[in-house]
Amino acid sequence: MTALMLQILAVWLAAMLLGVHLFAAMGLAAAAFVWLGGLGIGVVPQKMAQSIFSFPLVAAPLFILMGNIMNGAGITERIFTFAAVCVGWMRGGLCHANILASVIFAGMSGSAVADAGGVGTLEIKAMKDEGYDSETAAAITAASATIGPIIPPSLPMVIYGVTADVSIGRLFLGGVVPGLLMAGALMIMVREVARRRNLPRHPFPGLGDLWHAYKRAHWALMTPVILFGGMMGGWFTPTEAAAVAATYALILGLFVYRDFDLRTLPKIIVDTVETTGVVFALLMTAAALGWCLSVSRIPQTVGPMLVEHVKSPLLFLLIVNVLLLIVGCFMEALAAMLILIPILVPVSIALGIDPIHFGIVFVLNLMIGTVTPPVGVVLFVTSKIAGISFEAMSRAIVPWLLPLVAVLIAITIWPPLTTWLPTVVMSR
Amino acid sequence: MRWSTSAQARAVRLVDRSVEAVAVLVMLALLATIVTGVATRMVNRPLVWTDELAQYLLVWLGFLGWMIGARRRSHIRITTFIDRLPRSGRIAVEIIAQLGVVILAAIMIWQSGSLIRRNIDVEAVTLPFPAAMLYILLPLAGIVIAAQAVSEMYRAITTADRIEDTSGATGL
Repeated sequence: MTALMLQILAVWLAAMLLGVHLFAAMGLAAAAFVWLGGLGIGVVPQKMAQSIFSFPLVAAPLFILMGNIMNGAGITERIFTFAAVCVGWMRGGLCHANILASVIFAGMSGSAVADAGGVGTLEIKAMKDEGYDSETAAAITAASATIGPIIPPSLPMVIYGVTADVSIGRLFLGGVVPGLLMAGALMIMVREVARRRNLPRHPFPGLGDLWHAYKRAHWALMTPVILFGGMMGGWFTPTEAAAVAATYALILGLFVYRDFDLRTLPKIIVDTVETTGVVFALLMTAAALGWCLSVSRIPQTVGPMLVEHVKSPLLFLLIVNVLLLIVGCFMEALAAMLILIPILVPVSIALGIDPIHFGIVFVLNLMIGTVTPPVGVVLFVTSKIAGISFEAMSRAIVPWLLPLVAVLIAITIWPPLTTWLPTVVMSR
Repeated sequence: MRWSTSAQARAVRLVDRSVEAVAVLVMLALLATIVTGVATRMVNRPLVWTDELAQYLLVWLGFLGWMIGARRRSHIRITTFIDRLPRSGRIAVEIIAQLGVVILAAIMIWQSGSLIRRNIDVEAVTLPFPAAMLYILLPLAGIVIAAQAVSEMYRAITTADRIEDTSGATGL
C-alpha cells in the first residue's frame, strides 16, 4: 500500500500545482487510495464529517467571529488610540504604537489576517496621515500582524492542536513569551530605523490624557483578561473562553459602546461561516487523506528513515525551519500545516522534541510565511489597504523579516522560551 | 430565454439566501449552546448535552461554510501556473480542475445515502436524534458544490478572461 500511496501523492502534488482546488485534490487523492486499495469509498466522506466532530475545534469559528465582531464594534479603534497615547512620544512613535496595538489585539484575536485587516487599517491610515510613506506603514503593520496568532488566542494553534493531538491550552501558553519577544525585536528594529531616518515623535501626552485613553479602552482591554483569567483559572476550556469572549465583545459593542449596528451582525456571521468553511473544507479532506497516509504506513516508513539520518533534534529542527520557510513562501499557511503535520510531527516525537516546543516553532514558521512573497496572505491584505502594489509591498517587508527570523532562531535553539510558561502554569 | 434566465437567477438567489440564513442561525445556536454550558455549570446545574450539540452544530457549520465559500469562489487553489498558460490551455486546465470538484461532490452525494442509512438507528449519546445527523448536509453540500463547479466550467469556456483569483485567505 505504500507504493500505491506514493504514486497517488505524486499525482496529487501535480494536480495541486496545476491549479485544482486544494480540497478537491486532497479529497480525490484519498478517494483514489481507498478505491484502488479495495477499501470502501464511503470511508472518505465519513472521515471528512467525523474529523470536524470535535469540541476543541469549535473554538475555530468562535475565534474568527470574535475578531470580526471586535472590528465591527469599534473596539479595535479604542485599542489603537490607547496604544498611540502610550508610546506615541517615542521617536517613530506611531511605529511603536502599531506594534503595541497588535500585541494587545493579539490577546483577543487569533489570526494575522484579522489583525492586518482590522487594527491594520487604522494603523496604516494614521501613519500615512502623519507623513510616513505607505511602504513603511504597510511593512510594519504586516510584520506586527504575525504576532496575532502567536500570542493566544490563536486559530493556527487550535488547528495544530487538533491535528497533532497536543493540548491547545499548553500551546496557547507556550506562545506568550515568543509573541512578546517578537514585539520586542520589532521595537528594537523601529528604534534603529527611527534614529537613522529621524522619524517624527509626539510630545508626552501627560497623565490626564493617558488616563482618558485608558478609560475609553478599559472594557475592551478586559477581553484578554477574561480570556486568560478564565482559561488559566480553570473556569473554562479554550473553546468556552472563545464563546464567552465573543459574547462579551457583542455585548460591549451593542450595549456599552453602542458603536455596533445589530443589522450588520448577519453579514459578519456569514463572513465568519465562509472563512470557517474554507478552513474546514481543507481540514476535512486533509483528515481523509491523513487517514489514508496512516493506513499506507508511510509515516512509519519515512519516520525511522529520517530518525536514522538526522540524529540530532536540533539539526532536525533547523531542517524543519528551512523547509517550512520555503514552503511558507509558496503555500497558504493552513494547507501547509495540514499537509506537513502528519509527516513531521511523528519524527519530532521520535527524536524526543517537546511537542509544545515543536508546535510553536511550526506555527511561527508558517506565520512568517504569511508575510513572505510570492504567496503571503497578510501582504495581500496590507498592500491593498495601503494602496501600494504587491511588488512594492514585497520589497518593503524584507528588512522587517529580520527581527521575526531572529526570534524564530532563538526559540528553536532554546526550548525553555516556549516550554517554561506552560510547565509553570499547568503543573500547579 | 429571458424568462428562464431570470427564473434561474431567482432560484440561485433563493438557495444563497436560505443557506446564509441557516448559517446565521447555526452560528448563533453554537454560541448560545457553549455559553449555556458554561453558565449552567457555574450555577452547579450542568447540562449533559451542550458539548455534543455544539459538535453537531460545528459539523453543519462546516458544510454550510463550504457551500458559501464555493458560491463566493473563495476556496483555496494555486493559480500561479494556470495564469501563465495561453487561453486554450487555461480553459483545459480549468475544466480539469472543476471536473475534480464535481467528482468529489459526486462521491459525497453518492455515499451520503448509505452513511445516513447505516447511522439512522445509532442514537446520539445525549441528544434525541440519530448519529446520522452528522451526514445530513453531505448531499446538499455535494449538490451546491457540483452545480457551482459546472457553472464555473461554463464560464471558463464562454469568457476569455484569465481565471480570476478570488480565493481568499483562510483567516490564519
